Amino acid sequence: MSNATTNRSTTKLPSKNGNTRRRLFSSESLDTQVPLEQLSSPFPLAILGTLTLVLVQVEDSQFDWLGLARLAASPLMLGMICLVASVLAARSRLSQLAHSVLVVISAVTPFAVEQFFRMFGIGFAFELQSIGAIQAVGLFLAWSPKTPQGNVFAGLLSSFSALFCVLLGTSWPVYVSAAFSGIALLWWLMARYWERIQKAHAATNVERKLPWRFLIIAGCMGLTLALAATIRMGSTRLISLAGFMPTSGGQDTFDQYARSGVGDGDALVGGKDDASSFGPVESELFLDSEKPSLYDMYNDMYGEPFKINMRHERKIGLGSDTQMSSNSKATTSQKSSREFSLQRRRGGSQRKYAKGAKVPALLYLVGKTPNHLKMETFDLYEENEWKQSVRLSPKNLPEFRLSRELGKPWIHFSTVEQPDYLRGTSRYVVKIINLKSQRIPAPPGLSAVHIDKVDRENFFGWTADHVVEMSDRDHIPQLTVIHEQASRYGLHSLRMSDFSVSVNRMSRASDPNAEFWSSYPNDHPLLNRLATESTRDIPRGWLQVEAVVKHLRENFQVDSESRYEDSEDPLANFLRERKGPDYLFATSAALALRSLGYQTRFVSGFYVPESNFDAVSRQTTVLPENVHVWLEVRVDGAGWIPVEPTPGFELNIEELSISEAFAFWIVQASRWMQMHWPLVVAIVAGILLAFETRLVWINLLLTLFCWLMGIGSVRRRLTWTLKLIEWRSALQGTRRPVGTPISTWYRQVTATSPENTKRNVSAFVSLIERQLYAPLSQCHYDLHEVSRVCWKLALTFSPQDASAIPTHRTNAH
Amino acid sequence: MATLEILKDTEGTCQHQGEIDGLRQALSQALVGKAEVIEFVLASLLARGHILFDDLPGLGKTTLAKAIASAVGGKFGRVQCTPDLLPSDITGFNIFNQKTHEFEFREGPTFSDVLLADEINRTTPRTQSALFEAMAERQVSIDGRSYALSPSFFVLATQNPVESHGTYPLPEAQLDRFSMKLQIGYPDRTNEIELLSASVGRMDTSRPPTQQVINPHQLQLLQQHVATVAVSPVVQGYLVDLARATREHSEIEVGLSPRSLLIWQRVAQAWAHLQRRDFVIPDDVQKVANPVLQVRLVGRFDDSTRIIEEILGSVPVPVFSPARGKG
Repeated sequence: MSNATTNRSTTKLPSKNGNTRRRLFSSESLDTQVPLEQLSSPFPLAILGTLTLVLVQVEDSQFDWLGLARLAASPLMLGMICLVASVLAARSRLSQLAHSVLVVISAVTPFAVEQFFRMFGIGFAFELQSIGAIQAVGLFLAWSPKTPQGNVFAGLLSSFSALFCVLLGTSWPVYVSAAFSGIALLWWLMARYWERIQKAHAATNVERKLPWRFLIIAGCMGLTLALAATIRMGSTRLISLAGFMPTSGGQDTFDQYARSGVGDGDALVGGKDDASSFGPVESELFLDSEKPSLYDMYNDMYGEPFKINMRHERKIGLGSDTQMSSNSKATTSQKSSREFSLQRRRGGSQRKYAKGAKVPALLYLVGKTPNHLKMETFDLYEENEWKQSVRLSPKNLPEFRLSRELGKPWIHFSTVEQPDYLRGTSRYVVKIINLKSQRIPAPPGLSAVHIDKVDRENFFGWTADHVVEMSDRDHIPQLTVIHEQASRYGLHSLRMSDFSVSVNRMSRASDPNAEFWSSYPNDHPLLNRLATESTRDIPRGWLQVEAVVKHLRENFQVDSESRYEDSEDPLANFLRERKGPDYLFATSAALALRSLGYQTRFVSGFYVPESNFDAVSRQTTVLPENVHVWLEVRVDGAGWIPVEPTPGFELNIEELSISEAFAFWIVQASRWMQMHWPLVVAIVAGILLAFETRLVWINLLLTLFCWLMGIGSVRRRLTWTLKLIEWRSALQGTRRPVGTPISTWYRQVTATSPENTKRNVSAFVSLIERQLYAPLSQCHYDLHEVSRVCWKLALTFSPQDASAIPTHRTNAH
Repeated sequence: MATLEILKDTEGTCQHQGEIDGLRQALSQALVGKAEVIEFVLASLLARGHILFDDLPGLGKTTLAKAIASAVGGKFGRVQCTPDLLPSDITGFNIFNQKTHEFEFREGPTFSDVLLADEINRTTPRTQSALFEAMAERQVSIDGRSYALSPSFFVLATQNPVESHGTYPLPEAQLDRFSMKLQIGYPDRTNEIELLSASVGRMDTSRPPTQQVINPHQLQLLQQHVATVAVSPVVQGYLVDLARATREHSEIEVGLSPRSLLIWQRVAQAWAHLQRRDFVIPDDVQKVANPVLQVRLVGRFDDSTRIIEEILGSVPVPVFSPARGKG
């Protein structure tokens, strides 16, 4: 057998000589034309691919003698290799081994040339070398294919490299060259197609010894799986990417010849004209005079607060209004307590920006949006005002500790204990532009910060309201880039966690602040109603929090104009009118949750909407109008989870994974079932009963259906009765094999049935056979009689067990 | 039986059932306990096809052939094929009559109604092809003259599957001349005992001679009637599908030829007639498939029965046919 195979493979290989080859068409017309071997040569394609690659390399080269030499070196080397191959071939000394060695040499050439030129300090990025290697092999194979497969391979490699160059290149000559490559590729494909048709007679039928196709496919799949496993097992970050391609830093690796890479590193170009034109580069080029304080922004946004009874002085610790350079020392610190009043008046000194003027960005955020940036928290609610209690003691707060990550200082202040509602961390970058505050604007769950070269723990501190600040500074210097790490919240764990336990634990814990986090106006019927109405039938825990939020989000409208000016109780007005600005939403939710026994606090800061994302600099701008308030709920006595009650604002909370969503659904469903158990029992019993007797029902329905369909003629009646018994057999597990005739099968399946059934089957089979296969002239039946036969069959036919049917066919003797 | 009443008017349409029953009975007396083989032989006889027995000696082939000959009232001829058998030994030859000074034609064994060609693969291809010509054309040509054979000329050829040394295997193209290949096989125990006890007290060890049931003319009428058994286009489509399946099957080198398909249809017609039906159903096609295809399928397989079952199992039986008008 193997002899025959090798014979066939050698004799049937298409001959290079066009005259001896058998042609499918009449040879007269084709022999006079250009031989297709020349037309289907991938050499033009390879030349064009090389040209495209050189054009891409030009983009990265300097036009001095060294750069030009670098550009020309690889093509020259390749030309020499091709020349060697031609000389060897002319002397018929180009053996298979020599050819393979030359292929390897051409693949290595770009890397070798690269190493040589790196000694002079110039070089190309790794991807350019790799594609150069591919292109070199393609060019060499196109020049000296050796086998027909070599030609195909050369074409594939050349077209691949041309395509890849399109991705790498940015200038128009590259695209033009690639377009020509595309045309050459089309031409090559057409020529190959015709060539194949011509050679259809002498088709090769080579049996390969190794299952190459299988091995390649299996290898690719294995590699994919391995990569996927690497990604899954590593952190949530795509670690396989870093270090695989040359990168200009920002991640684990750095390559001075990299064109770009993960994290962008020093290849990132710092803009010099406009602060919004660059990413978070540690660069201090911009100064801006407009630096509104947080309080100015609140007033701009919500109007100025006022007091009806004027019992309290409004105290705002404003920083120095004098413009300071970013390096100036802080002269004052802002540690006085503050308030956030619900009673506000329209107007005030709203800053107006001319249309088209540049909006003064407060800061830039790189990271997932929408997001909240926390600035301040308020714990005490008294007389329409949120206040920061004076008794706050930061003694329970975690310590700051320094660690180094890739040589960069990170200040961690997360607790060692990680509650299960935290789901890993996300990294953000915040760049301060015009914000004047010493507090670090951070997403909820901030656990670590890094500012380049700031490696002292005492540089940071806790504010009285539990926000990280840069201590002993007036404000964070402008253009400071703060890298932040924040915990992500797992919605699933939150929903699953039992709040009653945590609340009890909280009350046991001797936290002096617990009192403030729980205080609420007892005499507020509307608030109590909101709390009880929205949480009816809902178990204690995160689900109640969600229910209150959902109630607010669904039944209340955002209306920043409805501030209930001059009202003594804006909250009551809000609850009555069901519309108002976001601080009333947050207040209602916080107080309603307090009335239910949860500890909450009121949070102010910025809302970073997705719409502010700048695709060019890949960052999101935060503007003064993005000030926002929301609340946080304390969970498990340790963590504060942000809650967003205002419609139109979204939290950056980890979405449920499919399995978690399913588990949550199960829990919800089981709760519903516990509440309605008699109904559930009845339904289950009904379903079980229906399932147990399913064959009966299906049979009944089928019989009725087929009987109705069969009305009209003898033919219809017989056909539909046949369909009925076919379906019944299929239901019983004795579906008639396609190759078995009706009579054989149905006599078999009713072999042990009662005599009556057998008679009915036999009568019906005779009828249907005659109907199906006899000449028309022999098929004259009385419809009434036929219906009677069919009806009797429908009543009695029931195939026996599949196991009782002989498996072998009976027609073989 | 109320349900069967409507079938009655259709059952009377099959004629000649008495004659067929008589033939069946006569043959089953000659070959005890082999009802299935006898059915196939009858089908082949009615389909005017020849039979190749692929079997060991002494299983009753000669008896069967003789019984057929006497049952149809025809002449029985027999050739024991040997390597030195010449074509003229079976067709006949001209001999010079010294008295009349003329050539006289001496008929060979082919001038009979039933011819038993024993161990056909032992004779030379030349002689084989002379026999095949007689089988296909029902005529022989001697010295440029054609002699017509009996219209019901029926050949039972045998070959021994065991002793293959010094044989001339029948060429595949020639095998197509046979309508089916059968194996008789050993009788079962009871039948063998019966065989023994029947021979006790008789001089001649062979079975008693079979009575004539029909005359050759009646046989011709029967054969003519079989040719008129209806085959609906649906069943013909099924036959063609099966033939195509044999051509496309990976293990079969040469599938069914159109001529084979014609023979298959005719044998199926005969089978339907034997089942007292005057139309062919897919069952008939399947029932005769094994012996008919055994002789025709050429390929790299040992177990042709398995291949045939595969093919029959893979081609769907036409059940829900396209509309054929109102019944």
